[in-house]
Amino acid sequence: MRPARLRLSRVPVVWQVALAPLLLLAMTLAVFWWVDTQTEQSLVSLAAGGQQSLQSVAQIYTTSAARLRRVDELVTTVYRAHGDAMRHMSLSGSGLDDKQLTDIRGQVADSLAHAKQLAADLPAPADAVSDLTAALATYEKAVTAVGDMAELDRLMAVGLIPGTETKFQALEQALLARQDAEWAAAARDAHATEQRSADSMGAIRQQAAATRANGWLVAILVLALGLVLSLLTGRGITRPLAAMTRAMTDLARGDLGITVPAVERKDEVGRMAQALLVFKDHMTAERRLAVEQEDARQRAEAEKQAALNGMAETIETATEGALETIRQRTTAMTATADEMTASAERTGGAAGNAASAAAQALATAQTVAGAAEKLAASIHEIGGQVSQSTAVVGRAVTAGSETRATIEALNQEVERIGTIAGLIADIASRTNLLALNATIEAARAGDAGKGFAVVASEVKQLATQTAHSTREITDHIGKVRLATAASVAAVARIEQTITEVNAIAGLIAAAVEHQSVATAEIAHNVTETADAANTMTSRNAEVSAEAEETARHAADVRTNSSALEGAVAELRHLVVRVVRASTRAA
Amino acid sequence: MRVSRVVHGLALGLLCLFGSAAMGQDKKPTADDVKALTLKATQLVADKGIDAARTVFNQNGEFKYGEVYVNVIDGKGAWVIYPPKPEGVGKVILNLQDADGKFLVQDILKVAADQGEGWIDYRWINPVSHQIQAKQSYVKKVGGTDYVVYVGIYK
Repeated sequence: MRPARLRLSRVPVVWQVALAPLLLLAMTLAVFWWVDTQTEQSLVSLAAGGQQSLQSVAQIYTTSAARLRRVDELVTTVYRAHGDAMRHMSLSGSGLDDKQLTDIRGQVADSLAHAKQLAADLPAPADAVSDLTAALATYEKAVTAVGDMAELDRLMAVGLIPGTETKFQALEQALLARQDAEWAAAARDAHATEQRSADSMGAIRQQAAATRANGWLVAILVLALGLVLSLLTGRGITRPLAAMTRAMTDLARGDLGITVPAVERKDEVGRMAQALLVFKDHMTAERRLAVEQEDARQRAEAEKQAALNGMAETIETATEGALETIRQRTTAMTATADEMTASAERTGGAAGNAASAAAQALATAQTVAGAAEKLAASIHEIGGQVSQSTAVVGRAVTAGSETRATIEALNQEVERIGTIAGLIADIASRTNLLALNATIEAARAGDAGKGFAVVASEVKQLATQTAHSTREITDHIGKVRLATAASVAAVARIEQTITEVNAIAGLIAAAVEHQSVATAEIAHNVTETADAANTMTSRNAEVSAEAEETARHAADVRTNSSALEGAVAELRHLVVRVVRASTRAA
Repeated sequence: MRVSRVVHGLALGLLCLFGSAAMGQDKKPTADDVKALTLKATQLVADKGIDAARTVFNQNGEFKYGEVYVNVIDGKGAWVIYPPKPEGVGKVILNLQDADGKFLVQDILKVAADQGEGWIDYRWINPVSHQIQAKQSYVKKVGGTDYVVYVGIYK
């Protein structure tokens, strides 16, 4: 038990806790596996038994069916033999061919042989009461006798029928008995199979019951074992925890003399114990530190008292010094204030002088402003005249251009007239030539052409006149063209002059503009000067007021410095008293 | 012994006469006729032996006419003389039964054994009419042998 717990204390608590359930689970699984295996075995046995039973039943069915089928065939064969025998008998002596009769008998014999073979191949069951083979033999003998008799004498054979019938009935009974016996055998086999199946079922049931009982037993054992394991592992955890709790409670009460348990453990409890040890050490250290701190505090208190006393004295001394300095400064301030008053008075006088000068400057500026305004008006008028002249010049330029265009148009017309005159001159020369030719022809014609010669002469005269007129026109045109060219030149000169005039007017306009700007500037400057003079006047008034105010303030300063001196003396007493009091309090 | 032989001879002679008369009459024989013929046939077998008797009986004549013929069987029920089908001799007919199931051959042997002679009744198919009719046979055991003679007629 001891070494086991020691080993367990090396693993984490979670594994200690899980140990019992895990073992329980493993054992439960094992039990489940075992029970499952057993159940499977039972089921396999059950299935095997069932299959065996089914096979047996199938075997029984097959065998019985085959045997019963053989019995049925036997019955059929016997009946056929019987029928054939009766047929043979009834047909004997009826005039039928012997061959056919022999065939029928042969069939009877074959059927009976087949029946005997079937009976031989079908071994009788153990409890068969009737001897089928014997019955068959007896019947065969009877049938043979009937057949033989029929061949001899049909009526006699009739006498053998009742006996044969009896044998046949016996055979029938034997066949039925055999059928019953076969059925009984099948039923017996089936019953045996049923019994076997029931036995195997019982065995499987017993096995299953045993498995169940064993399963319960093992389950209970596993449960008990799990319980014990849980208790043991639980105790293994809770016991050191309880000891730890006790140690912690004692430590919390301040008992530093405790022994920390479970330190040697490797699990969480062991780690907790280690932590508790650290706590304990810390608490010990803290206690020592507290004692040291108290000593230090007392020492510091004493030192503080001494320092306060020193400080009070230092303050007293320093205050004395400071107050003396203040007193000196105040005196100096009073002197300065007096000086300030005098200075202020002087300033007030100067300001008054400045104000009168400014008023004079303002009057002068106003005069200049009026002159400048007049000048500006004149300049403006000049500007307007110049603009008007420029407009007139512009109109003259336009008129000149129009004139020149007109003259040029005229010139073109004259040229066209010249061209036409040239054309007329050409016609006149040709007409003259024609007239000459006509005259020559008229001369050839003799008297007959005399009248015509007169006409031709007239025509020639007209042509000459025309040429003459044309030359005159041409001359005139030349003169006109010369005149127009002169006109064009004159107009060009006029235009040039006008352009020059226009340029001069532009220059005058620019100069006037400059003059206007300058005048405006003069006016502006004059206005500004006036404004400045005004401002100066008001400022001088303000300066005078300020000077008076300064003088008043200087007087106040003097009064206040005296009060300050008293207040400082009072403060000194107060500070010294406070310092003394606080030193005593500390 | 002598006397008895004489008596027998007389009887035979009478029977012969009678039989001739009957044969010649060509009418249905009566029960008495049958009985007389049976007795006569028995005597013949006893006197001449079975082979001689067979020859006589198989021939048409006094012992075989119309529906009448003489049957001889032995004690085991086997045919010894069967005039309708002489080739059937030797065949055992002990198990023959009539329409009512009566074992008539066994009855014949029984009458012969118990009483020496007598009537038996049964029903048999008439080969002429092919109808089952009542028939009666007179049975007589041949003394000193196991032969039994019988002759039947339809009633």
